[in-house]
Amino acid sequence: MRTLAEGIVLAIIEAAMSSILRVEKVSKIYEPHIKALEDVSFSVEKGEFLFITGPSGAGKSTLLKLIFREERPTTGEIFFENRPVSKLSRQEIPFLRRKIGVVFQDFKLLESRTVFENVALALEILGLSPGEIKKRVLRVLEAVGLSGKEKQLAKQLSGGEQQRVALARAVVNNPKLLLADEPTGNLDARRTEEVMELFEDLNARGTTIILATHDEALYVERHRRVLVLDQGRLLNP
Amino acid sequence: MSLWRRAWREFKSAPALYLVSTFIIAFCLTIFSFFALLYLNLEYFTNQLARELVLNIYLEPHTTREKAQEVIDDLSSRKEVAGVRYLSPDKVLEDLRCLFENKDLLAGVSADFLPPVLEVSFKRPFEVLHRLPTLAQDLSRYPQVMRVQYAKSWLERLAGLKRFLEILSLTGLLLLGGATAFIAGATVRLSFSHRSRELEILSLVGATPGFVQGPLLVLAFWQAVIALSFALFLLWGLHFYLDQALRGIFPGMEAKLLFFRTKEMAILSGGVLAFCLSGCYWASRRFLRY
Repeated sequence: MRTLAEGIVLAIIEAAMSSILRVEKVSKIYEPHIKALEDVSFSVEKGEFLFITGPSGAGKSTLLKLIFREERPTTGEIFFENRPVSKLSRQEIPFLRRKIGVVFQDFKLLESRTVFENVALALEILGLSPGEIKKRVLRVLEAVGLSGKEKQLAKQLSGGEQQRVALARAVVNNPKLLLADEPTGNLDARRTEEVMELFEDLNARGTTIILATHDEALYVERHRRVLVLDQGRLLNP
Repeated sequence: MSLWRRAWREFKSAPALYLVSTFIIAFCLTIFSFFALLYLNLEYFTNQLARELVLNIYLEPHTTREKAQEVIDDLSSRKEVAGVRYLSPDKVLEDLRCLFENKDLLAGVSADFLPPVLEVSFKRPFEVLHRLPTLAQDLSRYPQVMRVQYAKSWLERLAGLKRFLEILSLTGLLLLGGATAFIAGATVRLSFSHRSRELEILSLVGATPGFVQGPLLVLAFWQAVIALSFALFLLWGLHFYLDQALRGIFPGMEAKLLFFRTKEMAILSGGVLAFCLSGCYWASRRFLRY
């Protein structure tokens, strides 16, 4: 028999560890007959740091696109906080995306805008005051090691710096889930380690992270769950 | 940040692009509205010409205006009649003198020799064309009326000409409208494809469609207003010049050029605004990733 206190603690732990994301039998077929994903199922717990790996063309990027609803699955369903993502209306999608930070493989920065403006973009859409935006942007730029570069244009930065601007923009509004698509693809070993430390730090503060990479070195010795995709199929569900 | 400030920032991000596209829209609009104005004036002109030609009632000699009043009242009571003008013999002679350059032709002709005339104009002369014989017969029963004359053949030719001009200018207007819409639409789409990445990124980081498209629609509104004002100003200048140049070309006729009236202005403004706003909405929507 459990005591009441034990029950409450268990309920709290259960709530804290409940899944933030559920992928159920998801397939994605691009016309005419290209199977990008096939019958993929898994779930991600709150606060988890999950790696998705596999060779190029395995379906990693497609899976991330389905999660933040850039695309829709052909069959199956993805649940974010127990809500079916593919059934969200056009008006609801932005609110999903505000809860999910994304570090894109190609960064997706506005090259003719400054570092500050790029990061501030994610806060402007929330309607925050200019003072609050400035405070939060400077804080996150410091965290990613870009202090003093806020007035530089994005196109003037190196690949590694652009990667960190993309990361700063993805996390500046404290998303519940962070998706990163090959976030260290353009970085040297030292910068890769720095960026991975940033991810670890964010995860330690409660952010759930899904990181897609083909680089085995990123997840060995990290003792995190790793999902392996190959030709659109999950090899270790 | 308010919508207006975001729109201003949006403009500052690509001022040349916005100015060039506004100019292209204004230029297309000027050409389109010039032909619309041409159509309007052709229709007005043929109607005016028809009114001049419609019906002349020659009264018995020495019929005074008072005596002709019965006929005038009958005509004025008819809903299709726009106006009845009594021309005394003196006025008829004066008009004839204006018409003939060779004054010798009228030598010895006095006012007593000429009958007074009633000039009848109709609201829609081409629509009453087929009723004119009956009307002429009706009017002939008055003892004051000597003869009723109408230029049937001329009216029919004019009606044909009007119809020809109508088809020609409406087809031209339609083609030109299509070309204008295509060029202006392509300009809007091109200006957005240049900025597609920005629109895509905004939508991917969680901006609502309203947040992304709001400033663009504000700018599209101003583009429409500026393009319309520019086109109308240019057209008004052109109208002013042509009005001066054409004045007095047709003797005995008031060749006054019309400009757009309130109704046409409202249709044109509404059309341009609707076109620019919907064009901007649909062109930018293509690049949003929802």
